[in-house]
Amino acid sequence: MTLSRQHLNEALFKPLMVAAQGGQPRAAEQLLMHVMPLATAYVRRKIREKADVEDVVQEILLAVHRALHTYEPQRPVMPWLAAVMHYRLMDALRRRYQGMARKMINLSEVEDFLQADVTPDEPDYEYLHKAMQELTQGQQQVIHAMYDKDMSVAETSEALGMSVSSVKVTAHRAYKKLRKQLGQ
Amino acid sequence: MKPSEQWVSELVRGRQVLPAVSYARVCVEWALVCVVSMVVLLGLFGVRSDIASQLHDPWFVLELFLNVALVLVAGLGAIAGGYPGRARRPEMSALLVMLFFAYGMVVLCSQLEQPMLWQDVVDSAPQGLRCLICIVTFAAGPAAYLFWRLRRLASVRPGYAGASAMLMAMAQGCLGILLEAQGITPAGVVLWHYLPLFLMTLVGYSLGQKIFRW
Repeated sequence: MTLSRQHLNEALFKPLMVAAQGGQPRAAEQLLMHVMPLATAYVRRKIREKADVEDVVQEILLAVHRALHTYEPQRPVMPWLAAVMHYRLMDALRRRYQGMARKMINLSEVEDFLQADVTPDEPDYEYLHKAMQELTQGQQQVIHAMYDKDMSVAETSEALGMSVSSVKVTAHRAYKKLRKQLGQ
Repeated sequence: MKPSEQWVSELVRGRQVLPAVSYARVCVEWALVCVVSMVVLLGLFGVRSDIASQLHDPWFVLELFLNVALVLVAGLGAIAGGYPGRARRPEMSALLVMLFFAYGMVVLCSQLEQPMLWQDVVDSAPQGLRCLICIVTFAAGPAAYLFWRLRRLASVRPGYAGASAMLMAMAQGCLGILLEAQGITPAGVVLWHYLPLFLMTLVGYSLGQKIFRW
């Protein structure tokens, strides 16, 4: 008798989910490591850019970790996992398309049609600075390095003496906070 | 160790996961809140005096049955919405929509014996407002409980969960007013009972999208 892929996934994930709910960090870690390839394959069906795929996969892993308490051990794992992955992917796609819609209006293309300058030459992103002040010092440093100084994650981690993954986690939390602050 | 592995181990470090309250327990708690709030408020406001004779009217019994069914299906659907493993139930959504419109049809049909007059709308305004306040009072307890509980779960369909929760609460309110008030004109029923139910469901949808996001 051969087991289907779904049965195999159930057999793999269920004990890990139950153990992770029981407060075992090692099981939670293993669970997320096993979810990662599934989530990557799932996200790649909709998004092609590697960096964006990584971002969405990280969001899915965060979501799985945050929603872990709602899994009911007597029920199958895969529908639960599929629902969480779908929810996060759709959320990411919605944000992505909203962002693309904004980017489509390029002011330099319509500059010739404007009668006079209605914006200052150097825009003062006051609202952004205000939102930045709400971040912790570490988060501000990471954002400052990555955006003002245009440094990569590796360069930022070296400059600030943090690990690469810490920079990623800090940046992710900072984006989340900024998104909330800016009402997006 | 790869960066992704390190990221995952940092993510899980130091955060203990406690299982959420089970679906069955949330259902029982919600049912208790509904029953207790209904009994207490009917005790305060009093049950309509013609209830015994109304129970012989098939339209009234059908309306009562559909109202109870709407409360049950909307409530169970909203609670299921908080558990990702149970959230994708298209048959529940279809049943809810069918019940909602069936309830609306029965409310309308049960009032067809009397003519629907614009003058009634004007005349029924004070009583209608009182009805609306009563509906909101009956709805407040179950709505507060369900929104509080769903906020602590992980809804993958926040809008649907919000709309179902609000529909359940308003249907509970309509059930309360059905058992409490009498002598309402047809126009009053449509304007002060069914329309608020519909509008508050829309409000619940947008509220759910905001407060059930995680």
